[in-house]
Amino acid sequence: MKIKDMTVTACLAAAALVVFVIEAQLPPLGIPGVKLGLSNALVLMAMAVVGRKHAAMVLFVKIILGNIFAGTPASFLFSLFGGAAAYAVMALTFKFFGRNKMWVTSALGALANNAGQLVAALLIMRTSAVLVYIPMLVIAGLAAGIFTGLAAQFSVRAYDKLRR
Amino acid sequence: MDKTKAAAVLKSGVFWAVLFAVAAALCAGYLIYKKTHQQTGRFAVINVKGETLTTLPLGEDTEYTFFTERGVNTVMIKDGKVSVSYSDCKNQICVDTGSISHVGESIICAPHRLTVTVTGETDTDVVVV
Repeated sequence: MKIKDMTVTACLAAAALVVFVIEAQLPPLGIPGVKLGLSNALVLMAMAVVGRKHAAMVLFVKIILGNIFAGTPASFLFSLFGGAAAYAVMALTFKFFGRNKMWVTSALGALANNAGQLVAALLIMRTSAVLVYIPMLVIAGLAAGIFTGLAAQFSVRAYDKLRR
Repeated sequence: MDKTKAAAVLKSGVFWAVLFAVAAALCAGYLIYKKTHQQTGRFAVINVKGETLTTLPLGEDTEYTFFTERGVNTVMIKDGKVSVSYSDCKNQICVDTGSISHVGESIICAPHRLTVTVTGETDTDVVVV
């Protein structure tokens, strides 16, 4: 591992962690479990600037430490399922869409994140009542995913300029 | 359509924008439809720590088990009445409360921060004098 990549990864992980912890303090948006998920923008950004493997490390640090600082055992499980699903989808589609359409990658990732969390909810609550949230989660996932994707896109552009 | 063309379409931002918009519109349409064609009658609203977990119609006999952070509660709906049939809490007040069916009544399991409240159309079969 190159020292530079390691440093950038660590910085992104720290930033993702801060965003995650701050976001956890915000009041819920009315629908339980729906939030912007802005920390995912940092994972996506890591994918663009240091590669997929390093992005997985950012995600891992964010989930483990984020839930130690601002979470419950249940929220840890939700993060883990959602994060793993989102990462899998984004890692597979990132190269295809490239840096200029990161919002598509991000939106697909957000949908996968919500699908993963739904699975976690099914496992924890053992009731199919959670399935009524699907339409809501699709809308929220798309909106949040596109927004965080654009945020990551602009951040990557700024990062590239800075590096030059 | 040959492969390169298909790939070009999949790569275009417009395609995905349209696809996402259609998906969101379908979901919004479904939600609005559900809101306007909602089942009438009474419902049992299950709250944990002040947040609504789920809403169950009293019309169907069902049994749900909720695993909260603090413990387990089984909510049973039978003959239009809702009760907490099992709880692993200390005081068992929720189980001892028995069945409720009138709008505004509730069962509270304080140790688990769980409440079951009946909502819906106002009762017409009860007259309080």
